[in-house]
Amino acid sequence: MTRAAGGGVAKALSPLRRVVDGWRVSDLVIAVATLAIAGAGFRESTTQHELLGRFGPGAGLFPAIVTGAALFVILLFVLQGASRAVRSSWPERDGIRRIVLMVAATALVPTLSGIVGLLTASLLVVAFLLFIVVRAPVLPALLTLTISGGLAYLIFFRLLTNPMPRGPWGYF
Amino acid sequence: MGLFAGLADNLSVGFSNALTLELIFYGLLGVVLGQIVGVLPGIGPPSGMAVLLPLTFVLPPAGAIIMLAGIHYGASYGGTITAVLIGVPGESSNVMTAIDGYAMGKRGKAGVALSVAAVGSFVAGTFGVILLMLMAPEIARIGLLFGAPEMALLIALGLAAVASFGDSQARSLLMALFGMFLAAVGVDRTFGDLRFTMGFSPLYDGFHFVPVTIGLFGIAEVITNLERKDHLPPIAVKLRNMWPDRTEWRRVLAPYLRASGLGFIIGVIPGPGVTVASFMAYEVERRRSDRPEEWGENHGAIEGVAAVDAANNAGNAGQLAPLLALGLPGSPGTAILLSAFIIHGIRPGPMLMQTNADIVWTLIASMYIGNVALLLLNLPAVPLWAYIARVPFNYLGPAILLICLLGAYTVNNRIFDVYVAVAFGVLGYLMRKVSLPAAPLILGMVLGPLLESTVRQSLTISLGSWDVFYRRPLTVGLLALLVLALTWPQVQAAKHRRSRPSREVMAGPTGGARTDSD
Repeated sequence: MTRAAGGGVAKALSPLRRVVDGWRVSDLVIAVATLAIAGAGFRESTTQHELLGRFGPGAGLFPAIVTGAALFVILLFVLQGASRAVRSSWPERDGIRRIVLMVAATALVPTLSGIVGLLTASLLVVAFLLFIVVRAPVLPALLTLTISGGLAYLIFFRLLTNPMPRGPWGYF
Repeated sequence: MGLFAGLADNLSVGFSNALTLELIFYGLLGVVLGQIVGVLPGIGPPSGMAVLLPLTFVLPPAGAIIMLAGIHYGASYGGTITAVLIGVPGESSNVMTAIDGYAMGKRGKAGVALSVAAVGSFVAGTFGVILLMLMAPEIARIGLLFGAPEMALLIALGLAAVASFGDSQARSLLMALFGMFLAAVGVDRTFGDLRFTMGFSPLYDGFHFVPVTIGLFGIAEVITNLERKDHLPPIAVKLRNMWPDRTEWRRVLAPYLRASGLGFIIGVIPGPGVTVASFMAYEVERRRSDRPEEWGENHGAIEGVAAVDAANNAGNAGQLAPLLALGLPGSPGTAILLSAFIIHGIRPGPMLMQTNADIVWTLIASMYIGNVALLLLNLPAVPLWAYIARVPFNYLGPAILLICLLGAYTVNNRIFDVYVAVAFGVLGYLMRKVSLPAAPLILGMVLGPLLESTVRQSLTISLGSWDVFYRRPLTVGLLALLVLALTWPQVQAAKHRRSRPSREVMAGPTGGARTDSD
């Protein structure tokens, strides 16, 4: 009896299973992330902001429509699933190391800019990328650093006179 | 006959004014500055025009307006240069060039892409100016038929058109909605509510689309290229590859004309702007194409590059029609142009042709001259630009990163935008890996606020009744097109599935590498 009931449930769920069978981990992450972001967004839009106020639509109406639509599109995503997407490869360990180094160094730029100025901080990261991450030959790397730094200084500081962070010592 | 005789008379007056050395100089200065503004990610034409506006106070009215108009239409070609060479769109209207143009560049066709874009800019710019000259008053009247509901539906149509980008409609729609959600973060401009800020004060000003674009396209590209140590060899650019061959010219002729018409019409309508025009023109050509496999980042379609640039330039001319004929600026750039008119004591609107006809015709004549100047400046420069593509990415990548970081900061002069660019760079890289397209996200961010304000206006006018979106014939037509745009890809996909039931698409260099299913 139980086995028969189980068979019935399995049969009822088989169309969904066929869809989910073609999925990859990334599809699941996309679906869960969308559900989480759109769900939280929809909740905030409908509970913390007015949808329709006395003078017309409130601040919550548009985000509620957008997040509600995202929840609906997730259904479409489930139906279309992974079968329509192009597979892409992930890098080897060495590639991951280079990417992590680059991202970590770049993420330090805003903090460093408060000490040595934005241009100098950015150039330090460029130097780190050239010499440590991609291990470029010294002379072309120095040339790249000089040309790109010089051009950036001319455009952003001299031509556009942007008020960029300079740090306590007045670096660029 | 009388109409054309009048036009010829007015145009000859315009040319006799515009062809003075002083005005030629201001026109050339404008287009050159516009190109520089377009090349720099983070500085859009409105910012560039705003920065240079005080400099025009000392110029004669015609010189000031000609120079600012030159920046306005010169910027779109500058945006194409960076989009093709380094995959970073200088402007939001060049996002699709950063996909197809950059893909062409990676195949050693940067010169072809830039030539096609330069000639397309010239053809469409000239076509747009002719249309502006012939039909400005009539077209502006049609533009007035577009109230808030019609504009809301048109913007929604623009967003729906991108739903078929990438491999799956759902993924593209999700990204467009994510973009709109990001655009909603921060202080609500009408009621002052704080939306989705989680009490984090830098988010009160929301996300600007430029640092997000810089991250998704520029920084993500640098990260992607760090994956492999054995970098791709520098692209071989030969002089014979600089120019499109006869077959390629034939392929872009019809897209030039279609995109020019579409770009001009959308440019006339206040609100959507050249970004929608470029996306729509791209989508029209993609759907008409008999080489669907060439479109996108893996190969790059020459028709796509042609359509985007033609739509941009015709749209820029189109935007001047409501400005000159009604005094209505349809975009931030034309709003600054309007302020330049007012600063110099000229009030654009129905009476402009009576009170300051000489300025209008001088501006129109200067746009012909400006378009020729852009072509003459750019075509000889194509080999020079294209040779940049020969620089190995090991050196180009760090330089791109430098421009991205400084460009992200200059948008609002706040360091938080640098964090945003880096974060979206990582997100953009991950999105590439899981086949989520970036272009719809940008379009969602650009059009989201506009869609929100037009929906809000529509519902305020109708006292909260949604029938405002299907009360008038024009809204019914747009609504029908919107439904068609959303359902058509589904119908096509169903047909495709029926004819090829279980086809697994495999692409990309997977040799020895892990896939995300592992």
